[in-house]
Amino acid sequence: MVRIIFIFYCCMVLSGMFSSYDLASAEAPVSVTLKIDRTEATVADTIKLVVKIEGKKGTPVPTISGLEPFHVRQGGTSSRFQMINGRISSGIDYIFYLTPQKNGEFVIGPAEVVVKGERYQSQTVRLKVQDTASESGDRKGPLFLTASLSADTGYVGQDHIYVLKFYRARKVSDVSLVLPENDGLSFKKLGDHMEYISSQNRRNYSVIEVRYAVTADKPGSHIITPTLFKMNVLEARDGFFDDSFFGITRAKPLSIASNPIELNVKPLPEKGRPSDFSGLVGKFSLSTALTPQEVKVGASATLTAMVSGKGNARLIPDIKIPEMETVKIYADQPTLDIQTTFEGMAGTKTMKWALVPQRDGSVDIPSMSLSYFDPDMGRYLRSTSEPLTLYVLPGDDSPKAPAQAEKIDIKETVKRDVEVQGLDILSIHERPDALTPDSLERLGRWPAAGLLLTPAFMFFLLLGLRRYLRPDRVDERVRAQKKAASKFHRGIKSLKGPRQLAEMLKITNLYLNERMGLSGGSLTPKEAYDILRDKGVGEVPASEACDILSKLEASLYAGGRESEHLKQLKGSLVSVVRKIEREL
Amino acid sequence: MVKIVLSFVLCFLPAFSFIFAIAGERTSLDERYEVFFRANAAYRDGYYEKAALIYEKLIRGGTVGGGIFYNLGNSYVRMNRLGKGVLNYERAKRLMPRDPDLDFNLRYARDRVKDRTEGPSSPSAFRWLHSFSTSEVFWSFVTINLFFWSFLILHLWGPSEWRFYMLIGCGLLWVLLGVSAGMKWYQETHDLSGVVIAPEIAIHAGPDERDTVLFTLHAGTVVICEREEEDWRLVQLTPERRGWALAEFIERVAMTYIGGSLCKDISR
Repeated sequence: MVRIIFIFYCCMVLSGMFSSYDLASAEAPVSVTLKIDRTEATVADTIKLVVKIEGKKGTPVPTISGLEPFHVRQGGTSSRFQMINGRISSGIDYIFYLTPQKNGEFVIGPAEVVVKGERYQSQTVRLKVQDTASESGDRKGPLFLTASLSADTGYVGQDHIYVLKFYRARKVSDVSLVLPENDGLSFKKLGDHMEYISSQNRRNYSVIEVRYAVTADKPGSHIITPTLFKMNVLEARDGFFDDSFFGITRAKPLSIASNPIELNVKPLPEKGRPSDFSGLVGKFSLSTALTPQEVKVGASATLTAMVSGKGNARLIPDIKIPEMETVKIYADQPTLDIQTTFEGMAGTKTMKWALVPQRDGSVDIPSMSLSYFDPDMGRYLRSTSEPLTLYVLPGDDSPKAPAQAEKIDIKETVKRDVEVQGLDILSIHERPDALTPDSLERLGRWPAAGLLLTPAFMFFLLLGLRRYLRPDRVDERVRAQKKAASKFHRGIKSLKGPRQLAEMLKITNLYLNERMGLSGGSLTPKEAYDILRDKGVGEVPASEACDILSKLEASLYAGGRESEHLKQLKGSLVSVVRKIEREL
Repeated sequence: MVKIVLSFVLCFLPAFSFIFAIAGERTSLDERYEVFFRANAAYRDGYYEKAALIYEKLIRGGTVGGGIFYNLGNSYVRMNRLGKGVLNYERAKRLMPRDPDLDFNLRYARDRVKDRTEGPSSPSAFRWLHSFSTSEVFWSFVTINLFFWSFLILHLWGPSEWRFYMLIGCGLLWVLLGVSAGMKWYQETHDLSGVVIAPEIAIHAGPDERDTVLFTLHAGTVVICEREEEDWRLVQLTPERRGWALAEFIERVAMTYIGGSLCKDISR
């Protein structure tokens, strides 16, 4: 039965798992992303491109735009199946290797896949391909480090991308990086590092590429001193163990420095600087949205202003909303989301206001603006949002009084911490039960003890009475009858030595005498049979008892004292006594 | 069926007798209600000293509920006698450990105590016992005790499967509650905590005014009272902070000391 339940349970669990898998995979949204292992390469390099399709495993090969300047080789696929926190997800990665045919800057993507008639597209990526000579120069040796800047001139507050490429054709371990400490320059790491294979001077290198956003906070010429890469170079030992099979190598510490770079930083121009300029440098845009655009008097609409762009996004200022006479404005906490990608720093700041109109009619929400400095154009720019209109309908209990006196029903309640206005103790207990004494105190120690002990006392009293009153307990003979079997079994167990047979016969006679209430003495097998039958024992056990007794006597007087024989007799005797006990 | 009823009647006999005893006390309670309402009226009218005297009279007159100690604590807090306030709240806490009003007021009073201390701790395995009064633990044990012995008595008339399992279940609960009741009894009889009732007291290195003053304590601070020598009491705040203080400035929380302490306090 237990097995059946277990199998049933296992089936239920398994079916539950598979049904949940079907549901999860059916509901999972399909998404396509496109990735390349670097953003800059030479014509001699091979670039790895991965199209990651989430939510579906059996999709056709995606079509990728922008691959014309490359020689494309398919690198296979890789399927995924994950169960994280009970949620099942699956997907497939298509891998391609691209070899550039020419120099230039290319846009790869989007990758497109069709699932159940629906088209899904990925984002695009940019790849800059340059000639091998311009990258390598006169670098030689199995390990070297290069440093480069996205631009060697710029403005205060502008982010420059500092690219470090560590080329290695030898095995290294424990690689660490020591950035230069330059006064007036700050470094912020962009994304995770990239690893790829690159060809330099007809030699293949493994490349680790790391990028930082470098920002200058004062004008002038800044020299970015060399960055150090510290590592242990692994060298195979000579002799018998000079074999990679044994994996025994010698580690030699080594530091490699990059080339210094000069960065010329110009001050932000005074000419044309807007009064509301907050130091924002980069490319930014401001957009606004109003939802809903039509509300009743007293209800709230949400105005959202979003500033997003690339550059020093942490300096995006809070946008000020113009005052509106007939609208009460409740500002929400702005949110700033900074992203650090390989392309640089970007960010989005979102500001929200709850607008609660006090009168019906239309409310014009003026345009808002944001000023920033565009380093590419070298001048200040202003991003201005479109003006919006909020249409206000009369409320259910259309208020006629002036706006200040109106009671506003705000749907989106702004939660606040409860302010403590005073501290005091709570009032006394006036209910009569405050006086009611503790029940244990009222009961007292001795009654409490009595209460605990009485049930036990009752039990032992009843036990005693029961023993005293039951007639079979009084009669010694009956008591002996009850104990006869256990006495017999104890006796049989304790049999040892050369007089075992005589003792066995004695114990059996004693048992029969006590159990049948006889006065005592030795019984013949025939007598035993008759007595047992008289007492209601069945024919079979009585006959068996008679038989055993005969055998015992025969063995005692006519030999047959081998241990095996004795053991057999003991077993038979015990079995017969048990049968008799059951029938009596 | 008759056997079952008989077993339970035999075992519940003491409980019935207790109910009858409670009914007999009803008359004297009615008189005390009048005094109680008088004390409440005095408190409401702002006569906190008078209210405190009446509450104390009620406590001296016989055992009372935790509500009276709570009200007395409130009266003392209103009289700015923080030490006495905390003391009576602590006593009320022993009788009604889960009362939210009491928790609030005790927290309020503790916040006003000048000395920062950590309360006396008990072994973590039995910390949950602080959430139950001695009465609650006792009556739970009495109930399971009655059931346990009733099933044993039933067992005398012949075993049956359901009775056997009930007996095992009751036996386990009986052991658990028995240990809990024993531990609660131990906690209560070995409650050494005391409260500083004077506004500020000096803790000396020995039981003499001339001994070095080690530190001072303020009203409402809970300490552990170790032993007494004449008019002095050895107290411990933490293992590093211990010393002798005049016994009259520190009052024990334990209920067995209530009667004597209150008489002494009122006569002063």
